Amino acid sequence: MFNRREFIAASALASAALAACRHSQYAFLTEKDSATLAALCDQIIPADDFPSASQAGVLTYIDRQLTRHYRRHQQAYRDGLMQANLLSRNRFDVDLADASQQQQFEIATNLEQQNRPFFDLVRSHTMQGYYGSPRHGGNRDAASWRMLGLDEPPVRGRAQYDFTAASGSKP
Amino acid sequence: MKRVNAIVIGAGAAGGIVAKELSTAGLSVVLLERGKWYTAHDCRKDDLRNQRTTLLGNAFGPDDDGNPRVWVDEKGSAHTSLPSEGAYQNNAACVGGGTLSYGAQAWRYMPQDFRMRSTYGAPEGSSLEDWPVSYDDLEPFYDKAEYEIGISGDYSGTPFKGPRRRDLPMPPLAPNREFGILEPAAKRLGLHPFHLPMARNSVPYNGRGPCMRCRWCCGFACEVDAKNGSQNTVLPVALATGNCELRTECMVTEILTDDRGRALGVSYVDADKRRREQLADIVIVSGCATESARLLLNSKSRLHPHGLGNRYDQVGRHLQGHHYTGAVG
Repeated sequence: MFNRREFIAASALASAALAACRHSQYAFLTEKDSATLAALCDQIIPADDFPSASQAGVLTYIDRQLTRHYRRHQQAYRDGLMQANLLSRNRFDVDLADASQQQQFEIATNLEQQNRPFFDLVRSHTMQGYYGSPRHGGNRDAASWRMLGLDEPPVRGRAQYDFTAASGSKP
Repeated sequence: MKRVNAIVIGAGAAGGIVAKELSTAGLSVVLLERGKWYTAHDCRKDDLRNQRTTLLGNAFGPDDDGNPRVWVDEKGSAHTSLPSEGAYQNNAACVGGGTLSYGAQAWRYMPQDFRMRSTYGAPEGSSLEDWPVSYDDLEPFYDKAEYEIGISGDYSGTPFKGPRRRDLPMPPLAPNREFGILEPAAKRLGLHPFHLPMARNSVPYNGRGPCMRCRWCCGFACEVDAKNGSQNTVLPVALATGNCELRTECMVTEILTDDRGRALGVSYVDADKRRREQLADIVIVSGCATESARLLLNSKSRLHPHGLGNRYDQVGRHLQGHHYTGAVG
Protein backbone atom coordinates (compact mmCIF):
# COMPACT_ATOMS: atom_id res chain seq x y z
CA MET A 1 0.00 0.00 0.00
CA PHE A 2 1.07 3.57 -0.63
CA ASN A 3 1.37 6.06 2.19
CA ARG A 4 0.29 9.59 1.46
CA ARG A 5 3.71 10.87 0.42
CA GLU A 6 4.37 7.91 -1.88
CA PHE A 7 0.92 8.28 -3.37
CA ILE A 8 1.53 11.93 -4.27
CA ALA A 9 4.92 11.06 -5.72
CA ALA A 10 3.46 8.20 -7.73
CA SER A 11 0.66 10.42 -9.01
CA ALA A 12 3.14 13.06 -10.07
CA LEU A 13 5.19 10.44 -11.88
CA ALA A 14 2.10 9.06 -13.55
CA SER A 15 1.02 12.53 -14.69
CA ALA A 16 4.49 13.19 -16.03
CA ALA A 17 4.43 9.90 -17.89
CA LEU A 18 1.01 10.69 -19.32
CA ALA A 19 2.13 14.13 -20.40
CA ALA A 20 5.24 12.65 -21.97
CA CYS A 21 3.29 10.38 -24.27
CA ARG A 22 0.87 13.25 -24.79
CA HIS A 23 -2.25 11.23 -24.24
CA SER A 24 -5.34 13.25 -24.69
CA GLN A 25 -9.05 12.81 -24.23
CA TYR A 26 -8.98 11.11 -27.63
CA ALA A 27 -8.20 7.52 -28.52
CA PHE A 28 -6.03 8.16 -31.56
CA LEU A 29 -5.24 11.87 -31.67
CA THR A 30 -2.55 13.23 -29.38
CA GLU A 31 -3.10 16.52 -27.56
CA LYS A 32 -1.11 18.33 -30.20
CA ASP A 33 -2.83 16.50 -33.09
CA SER A 34 -6.22 17.43 -31.76
CA ALA A 35 -5.31 21.13 -31.46
CA THR A 36 -4.00 21.16 -35.04
CA LEU A 37 -7.01 19.29 -36.37
CA ALA A 38 -9.41 21.57 -34.48
CA ALA A 39 -7.80 24.60 -36.14
CA LEU A 40 -8.12 22.97 -39.55
CA CYS A 41 -11.72 21.79 -39.08
CA ASP A 42 -12.77 25.23 -37.82
CA GLN A 43 -11.40 26.85 -40.97
CA ILE A 44 -13.69 24.49 -42.91
CA ILE A 45 -16.75 25.10 -40.71
CA PRO A 46 -16.22 28.22 -38.54
CA ALA A 47 -18.61 29.29 -35.80
CA ASP A 48 -21.37 31.74 -36.66
CA ASP A 49 -24.87 31.64 -35.17
CA PHE A 50 -24.20 27.93 -34.85
CA PRO A 51 -21.19 26.06 -33.42
CA SER A 52 -17.97 25.51 -35.34
CA ALA A 53 -16.85 22.04 -36.41
CA SER A 54 -14.78 21.41 -33.28
CA GLN A 55 -17.47 22.87 -31.00
CA ALA A 56 -19.98 20.46 -32.56
CA GLY A 57 -17.83 17.41 -31.76
CA VAL A 58 -16.26 16.83 -35.16
CA LEU A 59 -12.97 15.83 -33.51
CA THR A 60 -14.72 13.21 -31.43
CA TYR A 61 -16.26 11.88 -34.63
CA ILE A 62 -12.98 11.77 -36.56
CA ASP A 63 -11.01 10.33 -33.65
CA ARG A 64 -13.54 7.60 -33.05
CA GLN A 65 -13.64 6.60 -36.71
CA LEU A 66 -9.84 6.59 -36.95
CA THR A 67 -9.87 3.72 -34.48
CA ARG A 68 -12.75 2.00 -36.24
CA HIS A 69 -13.96 2.30 -39.80
CA TYR A 70 -11.26 4.78 -40.89
CA ARG A 71 -8.27 2.90 -39.46
CA ARG A 72 -6.85 2.90 -42.96
CA HIS A 73 -6.54 6.71 -42.80
CA GLN A 74 -4.42 6.82 -39.61
CA GLN A 75 -1.15 7.38 -41.43
CA ALA A 76 -2.67 10.06 -43.65
CA TYR A 77 -3.76 11.95 -40.53
CA ARG A 78 -0.39 11.55 -38.77
CA ASP A 79 1.50 12.83 -41.82
CA GLY A 80 -1.03 15.47 -42.80
CA LEU A 81 -1.30 17.07 -39.37
CA MET A 82 2.49 17.15 -39.05
CA GLN A 83 2.68 18.79 -42.47
CA ALA A 84 0.08 21.40 -41.49
CA ASN A 85 2.10 22.31 -38.41
CA LEU A 86 5.32 22.43 -40.38
CA LEU A 87 3.76 24.79 -42.93
CA SER A 88 2.62 27.03 -40.11
CA ARG A 89 5.97 27.07 -38.30
CA ASN A 90 7.91 27.72 -41.51
CA ARG A 91 5.69 30.60 -42.44
CA PHE A 92 4.55 32.12 -39.13
CA ASP A 93 6.91 30.61 -36.53
CA VAL A 94 4.01 29.14 -34.52
CA ASP A 95 2.04 25.88 -34.44
CA LEU A 96 -1.15 26.01 -36.46
CA ALA A 97 -3.27 25.98 -33.29
CA ASP A 98 -1.51 29.13 -32.04
CA ALA A 99 -1.74 31.05 -35.30
CA SER A 100 -4.30 33.78 -35.89
CA GLN A 101 -7.53 33.09 -37.77
CA GLN A 102 -6.13 34.75 -40.90
CA GLN A 103 -2.91 32.75 -40.66
CA GLN A 104 -4.84 29.51 -40.12
CA PHE A 105 -6.89 30.27 -43.21
CA GLU A 106 -3.73 30.78 -45.25
CA ILE A 107 -2.23 27.52 -44.02
CA ALA A 108 -5.46 25.62 -44.74
CA THR A 109 -5.46 27.04 -48.29
CA ASN A 110 -1.80 26.18 -48.65
CA LEU A 111 -2.37 22.65 -47.38
CA GLU A 112 -5.19 22.18 -49.86
CA GLN A 113 -2.74 22.96 -52.68
CA GLN A 114 0.16 20.91 -51.33
CA ASN A 115 -1.67 17.84 -50.06
CA ARG A 116 -5.03 17.67 -51.75
CA PRO A 117 -5.83 14.06 -50.75
CA PHE A 118 -5.41 14.84 -47.05
CA PHE A 119 -7.28 18.12 -47.23
CA ASP A 120 -10.17 16.42 -49.05
CA LEU A 121 -10.19 13.70 -46.41
CA VAL A 122 -10.42 16.23 -43.57
CA ARG A 123 -13.06 18.21 -45.43
CA SER A 124 -15.32 15.20 -46.01
CA HIS A 125 -14.80 13.85 -42.51
CA THR A 126 -15.57 17.30 -41.08
CA MET A 127 -18.82 17.44 -43.03
CA GLN A 128 -19.73 13.89 -42.02
CA GLY A 129 -19.11 14.69 -38.37
CA TYR A 130 -20.95 17.99 -38.53
CA TYR A 131 -24.02 16.93 -40.49
CA GLY A 132 -24.20 13.18 -39.75
CA SER A 133 -26.02 11.33 -37.00
CA PRO A 134 -25.01 12.41 -33.46
CA ARG A 135 -24.73 8.67 -32.75
CA HIS A 136 -21.18 8.74 -34.08
CA GLY A 137 -19.87 11.46 -31.81
CA GLY A 138 -20.26 14.52 -34.03
CA ASN A 139 -23.21 16.89 -34.59
CA ARG A 140 -23.40 17.58 -30.85
CA ASP A 141 -26.94 18.39 -29.69
CA ALA A 142 -27.96 17.95 -33.34
CA ALA A 143 -26.67 21.48 -33.95
CA SER A 144 -26.55 21.22 -37.73
CA TRP A 145 -30.01 19.67 -37.90
CA ARG A 146 -31.42 22.53 -35.86
CA MET A 147 -29.68 24.90 -38.27
CA LEU A 148 -31.40 23.13 -41.19
CA GLY A 149 -34.75 22.97 -39.42
CA LEU A 150 -34.76 19.17 -39.21
CA ASP A 151 -36.21 17.27 -36.31
CA GLU A 152 -34.28 15.33 -33.72
CA PRO A 153 -35.12 12.50 -33.41
CA PRO A 154 -35.73 12.38 -37.18
CA VAL A 155 -39.10 10.66 -37.27
CA ARG A 156 -41.42 13.01 -39.08
CA GLY A 157 -42.60 12.00 -42.56
CA ARG A 158 -41.45 14.06 -45.52
CA ALA A 159 -44.95 14.98 -46.60
CA GLN A 160 -45.43 17.00 -43.43
CA TYR A 161 -42.74 19.59 -44.15
CA ASP A 162 -43.83 22.81 -45.74
CA PHE A 163 -40.99 23.58 -48.13
CA THR A 164 -42.78 26.60 -49.54
CA ALA A 165 -42.57 28.51 -46.25
CA ALA A 166 -39.40 30.15 -44.92
CA SER A 167 -36.53 27.68 -44.73
CA GLY A 168 -36.67 25.34 -41.79
CA SER A 169 -40.15 26.26 -40.60
CA LYS A 170 -42.57 23.56 -39.64
CA PRO A 171 -46.31 23.39 -40.04
CA MET B 1 -25.65 -34.08 -42.09
CA LYS B 2 -28.96 -35.41 -43.35
CA ARG B 3 -29.26 -35.33 -47.10
CA VAL B 4 -32.12 -33.10 -48.30
CA ASN B 5 -33.97 -32.60 -51.58
CA ALA B 6 -32.64 -29.12 -52.27
CA ILE B 7 -30.06 -26.61 -51.12
CA VAL B 8 -30.76 -22.97 -51.89
CA ILE B 9 -27.74 -20.69 -51.69
CA GLY B 10 -28.68 -17.14 -50.69
CA ALA B 11 -31.87 -15.96 -48.94
CA GLY B 12 -32.40 -12.87 -51.05
CA ALA B 13 -34.89 -11.87 -53.76
CA ALA B 14 -34.47 -15.08 -55.78
CA GLY B 15 -33.50 -17.59 -53.08
CA GLY B 16 -36.46 -16.73 -50.87
CA ILE B 17 -38.93 -17.35 -53.68
CA VAL B 18 -37.31 -20.63 -54.73
CA ALA B 19 -37.21 -21.86 -51.12
CA LYS B 20 -40.89 -21.06 -50.72
CA GLU B 21 -41.93 -22.75 -53.98
CA LEU B 22 -39.94 -25.93 -53.24
CA SER B 23 -40.92 -26.25 -49.59
CA THR B 24 -44.62 -25.65 -50.23
CA ALA B 25 -44.39 -28.36 -52.94
CA GLY B 26 -43.23 -30.76 -50.20
CA LEU B 27 -39.49 -30.86 -50.83
CA SER B 28 -37.04 -30.69 -47.95
CA VAL B 29 -34.93 -27.55 -48.31
CA VAL B 30 -31.84 -26.16 -46.61
CA LEU B 31 -31.50 -22.42 -47.21
CA LEU B 32 -27.99 -21.14 -46.64
CA GLU B 33 -27.46 -17.41 -46.05
CA ARG B 34 -24.07 -15.81 -45.39
CA GLY B 35 -25.55 -12.87 -43.46
CA LYS B 36 -27.72 -12.37 -40.40
CA TRP B 37 -31.45 -12.02 -39.92
CA TYR B 38 -32.00 -8.43 -38.83
CA THR B 39 -35.01 -7.23 -36.86
CA ALA B 40 -36.79 -3.93 -36.29
CA HIS B 41 -34.13 -3.10 -33.69
CA ASP B 42 -31.61 -2.85 -36.50
CA CYS B 43 -33.69 -0.32 -38.45
CA ARG B 44 -31.53 2.60 -37.41
CA LYS B 45 -32.03 5.93 -39.08
CA ASP B 46 -28.29 6.43 -39.52
CA ASP B 47 -27.28 8.69 -42.38
CA LEU B 48 -23.61 7.66 -42.31
CA ARG B 49 -24.04 3.91 -42.07
CA ASN B 50 -26.84 2.33 -44.06
CA GLN B 51 -27.03 0.31 -47.23
CA ARG B 52 -26.92 3.30 -49.56
CA THR B 53 -24.68 5.82 -47.84
CA THR B 54 -21.88 3.58 -46.70
CA LEU B 55 -19.34 6.09 -45.39
CA LEU B 56 -19.09 4.11 -42.16
CA GLY B 57 -19.79 0.74 -43.76
CA ASN B 58 -22.79 -1.33 -44.81
CA ALA B 59 -25.55 -1.64 -42.23
CA PHE B 60 -26.62 -5.01 -43.60
CA GLY B 61 -23.33 -6.43 -44.77
CA PRO B 62 -20.92 -7.44 -45.90
CA ASP B 63 -18.44 -5.99 -43.44
CA ASP B 64 -15.40 -4.20 -44.83
CA ASP B 65 -13.13 -6.58 -42.94
CA GLY B 66 -12.52 -9.86 -44.72
CA ASN B 67 -14.84 -9.47 -47.72
CA PRO B 68 -12.85 -7.90 -50.56
CA ARG B 69 -13.74 -8.31 -54.22
CA VAL B 70 -11.24 -8.35 -57.03
CA TRP B 71 -12.37 -7.22 -60.44
CA VAL B 72 -10.48 -6.92 -63.70
CA ASP B 73 -10.99 -3.95 -66.00
CA GLU B 74 -11.03 -3.91 -69.82
CA LYS B 75 -7.24 -3.53 -69.92
CA GLY B 76 -6.71 -6.58 -67.75
CA SER B 77 -5.66 -4.76 -64.55
CA ALA B 78 -6.93 -6.20 -61.28
CA HIS B 79 -8.52 -3.93 -58.66
CA THR B 80 -9.50 -4.73 -55.09
CA SER B 81 -12.64 -3.10 -53.69
CA LEU B 82 -14.12 -2.93 -50.20
CA PRO B 83 -17.83 -3.65 -49.67
CA SER B 84 -18.52 -0.02 -48.73
CA GLU B 85 -16.98 1.29 -51.98
CA GLY B 86 -19.05 1.94 -55.09
CA ALA B 87 -16.95 -0.27 -57.36
CA TYR B 88 -17.87 -3.26 -55.20
CA GLN B 89 -21.45 -3.05 -56.52
CA ASN B 90 -22.68 -4.34 -53.21
CA ASN B 91 -26.18 -5.61 -52.69
CA ALA B 92 -26.38 -6.46 -48.95
CA ALA B 93 -25.59 -9.79 -47.30
CA CYS B 94 -28.45 -10.68 -44.98
CA VAL B 95 -31.73 -12.58 -44.83
CA GLY B 96 -33.81 -10.86 -47.49
CA GLY B 97 -30.66 -9.72 -49.31
CA GLY B 98 -31.19 -6.42 -51.06
CA THR B 99 -34.93 -6.60 -50.47
CA LEU B 100 -34.55 -5.80 -46.74
CA SER B 101 -33.30 -2.29 -47.41
CA TYR B 102 -34.13 -1.53 -51.05
CA GLY B 103 -36.15 1.42 -52.33
CA ALA B 104 -38.67 -1.22 -53.45
CA GLN B 105 -39.59 -0.06 -56.93
CA ALA B 106 -41.22 -3.10 -58.51
CA TRP B 107 -41.31 -2.68 -62.26
CA ARG B 108 -42.28 -5.20 -64.86
CA TYR B 109 -40.13 -5.24 -67.98
CA MET B 110 -41.87 -3.81 -71.00
CA PRO B 111 -42.47 -6.32 -73.85
CA GLN B 112 -39.63 -4.87 -75.96
CA ASP B 113 -37.17 -5.23 -73.05
CA PHE B 114 -37.16 -8.95 -73.81
CA ARG B 115 -36.24 -8.28 -77.43
CA MET B 116 -33.63 -5.54 -77.10
CA ARG B 117 -31.33 -6.93 -79.80
CA SER B 118 -34.04 -7.51 -82.39
CA THR B 119 -35.75 -4.20 -81.54
CA TYR B 120 -32.76 -1.87 -81.37
CA GLY B 121 -29.83 -3.88 -82.76
CA ALA B 122 -26.68 -4.80 -80.84
CA PRO B 123 -24.13 -2.01 -80.37
CA GLU B 124 -20.67 -2.76 -81.81
CA GLY B 125 -18.68 -5.01 -79.50
CA SER B 126 -21.56 -5.68 -77.13
CA SER B 127 -22.88 -9.09 -76.15
CA LEU B 128 -26.52 -7.95 -76.16
CA GLU B 129 -28.98 -10.79 -76.78
CA ASP B 130 -32.74 -11.20 -76.73
CA TRP B 131 -34.13 -13.09 -73.75
CA PRO B 132 -35.13 -16.71 -74.45
CA VAL B 133 -38.54 -15.93 -72.87
CA SER B 134 -41.09 -13.29 -73.79
CA TYR B 135 -43.19 -10.87 -71.78
CA ASP B 136 -46.22 -13.08 -72.41
CA ASP B 137 -44.36 -16.12 -71.03
CA LEU B 138 -43.62 -14.23 -67.82
CA GLU B 139 -46.89 -12.34 -67.37
CA PRO B 140 -48.57 -15.01 -65.18
CA PHE B 141 -45.50 -15.03 -62.92
CA TYR B 142 -45.33 -11.25 -62.71
CA ASP B 143 -48.92 -11.37 -61.58
CA LYS B 144 -48.23 -14.08 -59.01
CA ALA B 145 -45.22 -12.19 -57.62
CA GLU B 146 -47.12 -8.90 -57.44
CA TYR B 147 -49.85 -10.53 -55.37
CA GLU B 148 -47.63 -12.70 -53.17
CA ILE B 149 -44.98 -10.07 -52.45
CA GLY B 150 -47.49 -7.20 -52.34
CA ILE B 151 -47.16 -4.31 -54.81
CA SER B 152 -48.91 -0.93 -54.71
CA GLY B 153 -49.24 1.47 -57.63
CA ASP B 154 -51.39 2.27 -60.66
CA TYR B 155 -50.33 1.56 -64.23
CA SER B 156 -53.45 3.09 -65.79
CA GLY B 157 -51.69 6.39 -66.60
CA THR B 158 -49.06 4.88 -68.89
CA PRO B 159 -49.74 3.77 -72.47
CA PHE B 160 -46.38 1.94 -72.57
CA LYS B 161 -47.23 -0.96 -70.27
CA GLY B 162 -47.46 -4.56 -71.41
CA PRO B 163 -50.83 -6.36 -71.28
CA ARG B 164 -51.89 -7.33 -67.73
CA ARG B 165 -54.53 -9.74 -66.49
CA ARG B 166 -55.53 -7.48 -63.58
CA ASP B 167 -54.59 -4.37 -61.62
CA LEU B 168 -51.98 -4.31 -58.86
CA PRO B 169 -53.23 -5.64 -55.51
CA MET B 170 -52.87 -2.29 -53.70
CA PRO B 171 -53.73 1.29 -54.68
CA PRO B 172 -50.81 3.71 -55.07
CA LEU B 173 -49.19 5.46 -52.12
CA ALA B 174 -50.67 8.88 -51.44
CA PRO B 175 -49.03 11.60 -53.57
CA ASN B 176 -46.36 13.72 -51.90
CA ARG B 177 -45.69 17.41 -52.38
CA GLU B 178 -43.23 16.90 -55.23
CA PHE B 179 -45.91 14.91 -57.06
CA GLY B 180 -48.29 17.86 -56.80
CA ILE B 181 -45.79 20.00 -58.71
CA LEU B 182 -44.26 17.48 -61.12
CA GLU B 183 -47.36 15.56 -62.22
CA PRO B 184 -49.26 18.47 -63.81
CA ALA B 185 -46.00 19.85 -65.24
CA ALA B 186 -45.18 16.50 -66.88
CA LYS B 187 -48.68 16.34 -68.34
CA ARG B 188 -48.31 19.84 -69.81
CA LEU B 189 -45.17 18.57 -71.55
CA GLY B 190 -47.17 15.72 -73.12
CA LEU B 191 -45.58 13.04 -70.91
CA HIS B 192 -47.45 10.23 -69.16
CA PRO B 193 -46.75 10.35 -65.42
CA PHE B 194 -48.26 7.56 -63.38
CA HIS B 195 -48.07 5.99 -59.91
CA LEU B 196 -45.09 3.69 -60.09
CA PRO B 197 -45.25 0.16 -58.72
CA MET B 198 -43.74 -0.17 -55.25
CA ALA B 199 -43.19 -3.22 -53.04
CA ARG B 200 -44.52 -1.10 -50.19
CA ASN B 201 -47.90 -1.47 -48.52
CA SER B 202 -50.18 1.49 -49.18
CA VAL B 203 -52.93 -0.25 -47.20
CA PRO B 204 -52.75 -3.19 -44.76
CA TYR B 205 -51.70 -6.28 -46.72
CA ASN B 206 -50.50 -9.77 -45.87
CA GLY B 207 -51.00 -9.11 -42.17
CA ARG B 208 -48.77 -6.04 -42.05
CA GLY B 209 -49.62 -2.35 -41.94
CA PRO B 210 -49.11 0.42 -44.49
CA CYS B 211 -46.12 2.70 -45.07
CA MET B 212 -45.96 5.59 -42.60
CA ARG B 213 -44.17 7.85 -45.12
CA CYS B 214 -40.98 8.42 -43.15
CA ARG B 215 -37.98 9.84 -44.97
CA TRP B 216 -35.80 6.77 -44.44
CA CYS B 217 -36.64 4.16 -47.05
CA CYS B 218 -34.04 3.27 -49.67
CA GLY B 219 -30.94 1.96 -47.88
CA PHE B 220 -32.79 1.33 -44.63
CA ALA B 221 -34.84 -1.53 -43.22
CA CYS B 222 -38.47 -0.60 -42.57
CA GLU B 223 -39.23 -0.17 -38.90
CA VAL B 224 -42.96 -0.67 -39.40
CA ASP B 225 -42.39 -3.64 -41.73
CA ALA B 226 -44.41 -2.06 -44.55
CA LYS B 227 -41.72 -2.67 -47.17
CA ASN B 228 -42.08 -6.06 -48.80
CA GLY B 229 -39.09 -8.33 -49.34
CA SER B 230 -38.14 -11.97 -49.08
CA GLN B 231 -37.67 -11.71 -45.32
CA ASN B 232 -41.32 -10.81 -44.57
CA THR B 233 -43.23 -12.44 -47.44
CA VAL B 234 -41.97 -15.69 -48.99
CA LEU B 235 -39.53 -16.76 -46.28
CA PRO B 236 -42.08 -16.90 -43.46
CA VAL B 237 -44.26 -19.03 -45.77
CA ALA B 238 -41.35 -21.34 -46.53
CA LEU B 239 -40.42 -21.72 -42.85
CA ALA B 240 -44.04 -22.31 -41.82
CA THR B 241 -44.19 -25.44 -44.01
CA GLY B 242 -41.71 -27.16 -41.69
CA ASN B 243 -39.83 -28.30 -44.81
CA CYS B 244 -37.36 -25.43 -44.99
CA GLU B 245 -34.43 -24.95 -42.64
CA LEU B 246 -32.73 -21.55 -42.77
CA ARG B 247 -29.10 -21.47 -41.67
CA THR B 248 -27.74 -17.95 -41.28
CA GLU B 249 -24.12 -16.80 -41.26
CA CYS B 250 -23.26 -19.77 -43.44
CA MET B 251 -21.02 -18.92 -46.39
CA VAL B 252 -20.95 -21.49 -49.17
CA THR B 253 -17.44 -21.85 -50.53
CA GLU B 254 -17.80 -24.64 -53.07
CA ILE B 255 -20.38 -26.72 -54.88
CA LEU B 256 -19.34 -30.36 -54.62
CA THR B 257 -19.72 -32.67 -57.62
CA ASP B 258 -19.69 -36.45 -57.98
CA ASP B 259 -17.46 -38.46 -60.33
CA ARG B 260 -19.90 -37.86 -63.17
CA GLY B 261 -19.62 -34.13 -62.65
CA ARG B 262 -23.11 -33.64 -61.21
CA ALA B 263 -23.82 -31.42 -58.21
CA LEU B 264 -23.80 -33.42 -55.00
CA GLY B 265 -24.04 -30.76 -52.33
CA VAL B 266 -22.05 -27.86 -50.96
CA SER B 267 -19.18 -27.11 -48.64
CA TYR B 268 -19.71 -24.09 -46.40
CA VAL B 269 -18.31 -22.24 -43.40
CA ASP B 270 -20.78 -21.80 -40.55
CA ALA B 271 -21.19 -19.01 -37.98
CA ASP B 272 -18.50 -20.59 -35.78
CA LYS B 273 -16.05 -20.70 -38.72
CA ARG B 274 -16.34 -24.49 -38.90
CA ARG B 275 -16.22 -26.14 -42.30
CA ARG B 276 -19.36 -28.15 -43.01
CA GLU B 277 -20.88 -30.12 -45.85
CA GLN B 278 -24.50 -30.49 -46.86
CA LEU B 279 -25.65 -32.97 -49.50
CA ALA B 280 -28.76 -32.63 -51.66
CA ASP B 281 -30.41 -33.79 -54.88
CA ILE B 282 -30.58 -30.26 -56.24
CA VAL B 283 -28.33 -27.24 -55.64
CA ILE B 284 -29.78 -23.81 -56.49
CA VAL B 285 -27.30 -20.97 -56.83
CA SER B 286 -29.04 -17.67 -56.05
CA GLY B 287 -26.32 -15.53 -54.50
CA CYS B 288 -26.70 -12.49 -56.78
CA ALA B 289 -24.73 -11.90 -59.99
CA THR B 290 -21.24 -11.47 -58.58
CA GLU B 291 -21.24 -13.98 -55.74
CA SER B 292 -23.01 -16.67 -57.80
CA ALA B 293 -20.35 -16.31 -60.49
CA ARG B 294 -17.57 -16.40 -57.90
CA LEU B 295 -18.99 -19.58 -56.36
CA LEU B 296 -19.27 -21.29 -59.74
CA LEU B 297 -15.69 -20.29 -60.63
CA ASN B 298 -14.44 -21.55 -57.26
CA SER B 299 -16.15 -24.93 -57.76
CA LYS B 300 -13.44 -26.61 -59.81
CA SER B 301 -13.09 -30.36 -60.29
CA ARG B 302 -11.60 -32.83 -62.75
CA LEU B 303 -14.64 -32.60 -65.02
CA HIS B 304 -15.07 -28.85 -64.47
CA PRO B 305 -11.49 -27.54 -64.56
CA HIS B 306 -12.57 -23.91 -65.12
CA GLY B 307 -15.42 -23.94 -62.64
CA LEU B 308 -19.01 -25.14 -62.86
CA GLY B 309 -20.99 -24.22 -65.94
CA ASN B 310 -17.98 -22.44 -67.40
CA ARG B 311 -17.20 -24.58 -70.44
CA TYR B 312 -17.46 -21.49 -72.64
CA ASP B 313 -15.55 -19.13 -70.34
CA GLN B 314 -18.55 -16.84 -69.91
CA VAL B 315 -19.12 -17.15 -66.14
CA GLY B 316 -18.25 -13.92 -64.39
CA ARG B 317 -18.17 -11.93 -67.62
CA HIS B 318 -20.76 -9.43 -68.92
CA LEU B 319 -21.76 -8.56 -65.36
CA GLN B 320 -23.37 -5.20 -64.84
CA GLY B 321 -23.71 -3.45 -61.53
CA HIS B 322 -26.55 -1.22 -60.49
CA HIS B 323 -26.23 1.90 -62.62
CA TYR B 324 -28.17 4.95 -61.57
CA THR B 325 -29.41 7.67 -63.86
CA GLY B 326 -31.02 10.79 -62.54
CA ALA B 327 -31.81 14.40 -63.19
CA VAL B 328 -32.15 17.37 -60.89
CA GLY B 329 -33.73 20.71 -61.56
